[in-house]
Amino acid sequence: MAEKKNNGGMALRVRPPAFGLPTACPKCLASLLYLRLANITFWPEYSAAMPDSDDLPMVELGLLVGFASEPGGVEEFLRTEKLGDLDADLAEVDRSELKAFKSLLVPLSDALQLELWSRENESIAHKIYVSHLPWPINRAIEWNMRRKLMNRLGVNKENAKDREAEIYKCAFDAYEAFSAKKQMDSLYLVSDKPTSLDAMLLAHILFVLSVPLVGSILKDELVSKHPLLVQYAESMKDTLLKSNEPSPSDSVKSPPTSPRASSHASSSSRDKDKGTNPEPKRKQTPKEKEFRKRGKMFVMAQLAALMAYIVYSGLPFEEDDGDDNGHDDD
Amino acid sequence: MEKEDVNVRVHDIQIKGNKRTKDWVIESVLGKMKEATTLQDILLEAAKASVQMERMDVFERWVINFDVGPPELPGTTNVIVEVVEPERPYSCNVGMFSRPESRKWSLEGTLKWKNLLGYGETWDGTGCYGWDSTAENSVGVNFPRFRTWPAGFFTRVSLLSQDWHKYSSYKERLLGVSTGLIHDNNHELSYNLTWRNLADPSHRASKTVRGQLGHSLLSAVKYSYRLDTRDSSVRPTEGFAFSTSSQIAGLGPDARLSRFFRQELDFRFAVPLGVFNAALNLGTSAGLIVPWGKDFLSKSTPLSDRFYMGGPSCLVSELRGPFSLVGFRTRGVGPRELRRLVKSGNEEEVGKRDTLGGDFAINGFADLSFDLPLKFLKEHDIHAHVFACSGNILSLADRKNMTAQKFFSGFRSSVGAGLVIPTRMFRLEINYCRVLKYQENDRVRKGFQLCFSPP
Repeated sequence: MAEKKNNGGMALRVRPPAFGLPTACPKCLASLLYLRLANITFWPEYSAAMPDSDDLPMVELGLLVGFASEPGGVEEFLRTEKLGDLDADLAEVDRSELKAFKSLLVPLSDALQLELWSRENESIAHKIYVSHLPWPINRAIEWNMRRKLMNRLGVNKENAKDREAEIYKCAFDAYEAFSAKKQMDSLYLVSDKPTSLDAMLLAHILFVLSVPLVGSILKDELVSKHPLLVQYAESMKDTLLKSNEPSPSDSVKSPPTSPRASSHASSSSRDKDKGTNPEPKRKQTPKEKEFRKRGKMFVMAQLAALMAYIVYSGLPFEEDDGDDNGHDDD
Repeated sequence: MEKEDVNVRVHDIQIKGNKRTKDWVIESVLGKMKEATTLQDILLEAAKASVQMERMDVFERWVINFDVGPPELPGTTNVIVEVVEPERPYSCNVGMFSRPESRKWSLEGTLKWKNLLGYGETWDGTGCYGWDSTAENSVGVNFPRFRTWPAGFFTRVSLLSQDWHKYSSYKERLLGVSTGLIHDNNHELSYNLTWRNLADPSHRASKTVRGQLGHSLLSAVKYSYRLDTRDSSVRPTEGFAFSTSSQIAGLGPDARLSRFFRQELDFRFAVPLGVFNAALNLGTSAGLIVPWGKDFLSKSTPLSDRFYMGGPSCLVSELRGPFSLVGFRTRGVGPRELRRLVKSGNEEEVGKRDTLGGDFAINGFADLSFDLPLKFLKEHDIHAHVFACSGNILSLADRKNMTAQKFFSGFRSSVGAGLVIPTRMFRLEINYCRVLKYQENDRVRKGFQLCFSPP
């Protein structure tokens, strides 16, 4: 068990849960699984107002904070502050192997982001990142995030097919390498104890298997050609996704008028958020759609009323100019 | 004509010289002239129309003439309005301005275009860039007289970035549209739709500020009423001023909008004392912001909309809510929280705090101004004043443990004296302040201070 500071315990600030996952953001999920594999006690705080921020996930322990955007991210923060280190006991050889395999996670992440932000999965990305923000800023942020991702991946209208094929090929090669590594007789990837590599790969696989991405090539590849990886993730799923966090009250922080004590939510609300059955969440989707639709109609109605008043209220004056009937005849 | 009414009616109104301006725009300025039945009423309406034309500020010159009506209609007159539109309807100003209270300089430029569409409207674009990378860009249009409404209509699109890093560890970017439906000397009703983004690039923010970082949408209606009967806003010696401002945010069916109700009150009172042109000015201001909606008691208010107290300010002239408390630094009063601890960082940053603002604020002051016995100073209305002020600022989260004793013991107070130099453009004060009472973590600023305030 990792050493704890004596000032209230550790909080992990992540994006909100969805699709049966404690957090539906792949990057945040990796950090969450890392903490669980390291048996570090923490509670999740959800932040939905920063969908485009690189600072999430962040770890808070009193006045100490570790941001994902800082060198080494959350992992390095935990290591520096001596709060936990999954890779601490690795031999030098295993450490080198760990670094090499970590580089294979990059193409997996790129392929996953490409699928998630494709047009077919617009509603999935919307639900994960911007559904807690009001219209129309959620649409604007979503559009900007998609644009930035495609620029980073070098995907445009002219080279979309070729570039996607290239990204998927790199991802499939990574799957092959991880499958070959997992075939060796060990519980985890590198040693007989979980490492940071396990946390990251498990986060990727659990996301691909849990989130209902339309036309997911990664899922098809995993299920059809890499049953060992699927089995590896399924065997860890119950342990990793079952929450042992102490504080129950996690409510989503979207706009600033969100609940003050975000670190103390009821366990019932968390269980609801993590629910293994996705159907109740799908029933809420029409309601959310109705809210968005009503919001759009409200703003459009206001603008239309204003424009109509400006345009049509001018007609009597223009008619008066032509009639010239401003006098009474005696 | 001076002794009895002369019965005359307006037969026709002719507009000449307007190449761009719509006829109805000028006719609407003439008000009830067509309904007038006496010469005196017609001349009165003409005088009012002259004032309106002046306010519109889109003509180079204008003249209202009266001609005899058609011979078959005795007792009638034709009104002939001749206007001259400027050849160059645009103007541009660029300048460098200093703000001593915040020790900043800024480059500001304004471009105005009058009567572009012929509705008597004024378009303006403003850009302001501060040396600390603060920037404000806005484009707006103002209709000084909107149809038959007596008040103007304006709308403005603005992109503003503000840097509160020094005080609260965040930068704020605002993209908004504001529309005013009523805007006259006393009343103002406006609607504001603003996209806000709070960010902390330095990663130093305290926990409360970190929790408020990110995007939000403000949809709010604001109503303000202001009444000022004082003889001068730069050196008031008699009269009173009252101002109230109510804002309700979260208008719309979307529950994800920022939802709160905000109220500000200001009251000023000036009493002449008869000797040395002395006057006693008293004033008080208060403000409250509360969230509304489901579970509103457990919600927090947006950082950007809370009340902040402190910084150089002119107590007497400004009616801007409970933010004045002389003797304290900008945002130096109220709830504060320790920033993130960065072990490898600058030692000077250790122990620094973020100002979180308050949900309830109240302050009051008394100011005694008097002439100095020097002819030169009297001629330029440069005078002295002594003052005392006090204030308190609280968070709604403290309400459960709050008692009357705690509330009153939390008041800060300061006294001071100084020189006041009123000009047509602004009121300049050079004051010496002494803080009598402050709370733990308040940022006090003793000694000499300089402050400007617009009239």
